Amino acid sequence: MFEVLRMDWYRLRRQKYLLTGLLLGLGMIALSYAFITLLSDPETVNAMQAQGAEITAEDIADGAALAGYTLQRYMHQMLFEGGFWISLIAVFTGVYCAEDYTGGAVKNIFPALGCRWPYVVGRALCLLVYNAVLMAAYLLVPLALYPLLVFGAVGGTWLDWLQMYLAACLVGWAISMCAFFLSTLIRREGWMALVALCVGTGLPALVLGFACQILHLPDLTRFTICICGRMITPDFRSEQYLHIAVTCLAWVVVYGLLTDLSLRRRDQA
Amino acid sequence: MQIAVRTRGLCKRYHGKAAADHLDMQVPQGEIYGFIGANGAGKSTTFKLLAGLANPTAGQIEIFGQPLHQGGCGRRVGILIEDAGLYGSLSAADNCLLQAKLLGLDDEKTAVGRVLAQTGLEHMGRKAAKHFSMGQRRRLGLALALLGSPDLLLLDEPTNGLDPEGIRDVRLLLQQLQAEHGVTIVVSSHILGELEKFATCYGIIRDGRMVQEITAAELSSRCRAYIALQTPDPHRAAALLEDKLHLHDYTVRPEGELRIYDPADPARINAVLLDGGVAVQSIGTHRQELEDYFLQMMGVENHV
Repeated sequence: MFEVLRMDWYRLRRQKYLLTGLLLGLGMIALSYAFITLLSDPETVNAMQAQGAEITAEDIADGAALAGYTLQRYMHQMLFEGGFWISLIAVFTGVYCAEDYTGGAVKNIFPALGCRWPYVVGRALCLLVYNAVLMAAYLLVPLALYPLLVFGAVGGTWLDWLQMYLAACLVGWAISMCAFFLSTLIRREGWMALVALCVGTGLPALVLGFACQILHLPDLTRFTICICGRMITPDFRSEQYLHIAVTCLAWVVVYGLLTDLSLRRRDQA
Repeated sequence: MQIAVRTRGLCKRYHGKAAADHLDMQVPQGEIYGFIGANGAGKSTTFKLLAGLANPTAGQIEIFGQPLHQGGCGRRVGILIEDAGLYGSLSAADNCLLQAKLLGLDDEKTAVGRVLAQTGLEHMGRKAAKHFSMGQRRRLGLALALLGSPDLLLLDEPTNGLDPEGIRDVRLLLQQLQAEHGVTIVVSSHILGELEKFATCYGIIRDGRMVQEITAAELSSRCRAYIALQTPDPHRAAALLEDKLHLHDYTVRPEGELRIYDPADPARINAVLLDGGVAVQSIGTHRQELEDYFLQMMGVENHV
């Protein structure tokens, strides 16, 4: 099991999944910050509009609101209200896992391990570590750069930041395990990226919500991973946090078992 | 005699078609087992079953006396099946390092350096595996199979795509592993002449069933001697020999060669043919090779 973890961690670094995930995520945060900072200055807005840029009233309102934000409030809005990072995680981990099949590397992995569980558990641990490292960077880098930013205060207590981080790790881990399971079915990087994008943007939750409405069922979308991602709050709320933790851990276990079932039922090569 | 690989009644069906059909196989420990069969006979399927990459429909597999799916054999088995399993964006060294980490090797870099040198890939540098030629990919697959210093190698056409020098190098390497380290090797190849140079026993498979398992010594004794006759008109030559010398056990090969299996004197045959006005381009005694024996087992006739 730990051999799989060592192998995966080495591959994540050598194939630049880690670096790309860090750069893309931090890059999007930085670009968004830069754009909204520009919009907070009326002179800059006028100059941009004179150059032909299309700036909506909502954009200007976002820029104006920035002055009153704390760093914590901004990071929460940036990461968890949009949910782009869930799509990013889903696509990256899905393609990473599917690559075992597209290149045929499974032919080397399974005979060496002798059974499925070291692969499933080792990979699951690696996905957790991957999510933990990415999310730590997404939160710590802005914290480290705070003196250079326009925010009035950092905001929140250490507990608030910690619960955001841990909740995000659990949500990321759950969506990664979903992508891992899907990769054992799809086994193609291109198709896996497409499916992961659909899953990461919340399409299943949307369909489920629609179905619940049509069938007059209680809203079950709060038990989906993407909605759990949007339920992460900037401040610590024990009941909400417990719901996110239990739901995501349950999905991790479910997808782990489904992955094992998929590997058992299908030939690996 | 200890058995490294044993299968009993091994079956594998794909969409109703049997790729392995009650296959019984025994590979003696320390031997080089040449696994021979036509395209689609079930060789690759058998390799996948032995490696645990495919689930058998029925039957049992034992590797070194242990049922296959109880604990597995880990480092004891090295595998190269069909195309080498590689991460295309990584170099040869990185692919090997990944496998070394998976196997839990103590000195990874030394082991990787060793197998890359054994397979002639030590100078590939940072070139990504997706840019390798077919032969280079094959060599890298072989390197991955050798990493854990396995006791059993399952090699499905390891020389496919290699140049003649590479084919020779692989043969010498496998012979060395068997002779010096007692490694058991199950190897398939369509180049039967090459296989004949180093295999010590053979298994011939047809339509998913084992037709015969035979040692190299037994094969040698069963391969028949014959007189090979090259002539512009083999059919007329055959008719003359039937009439004059009562020779009936012969075949006419597509390339115009007449092979006579009845005991006869080549000088007498030559004289009869010359008297009958049939030119003889060459005549000599030979022994059947593995290819001939295999074709005979497959029931492929070479009469024209």
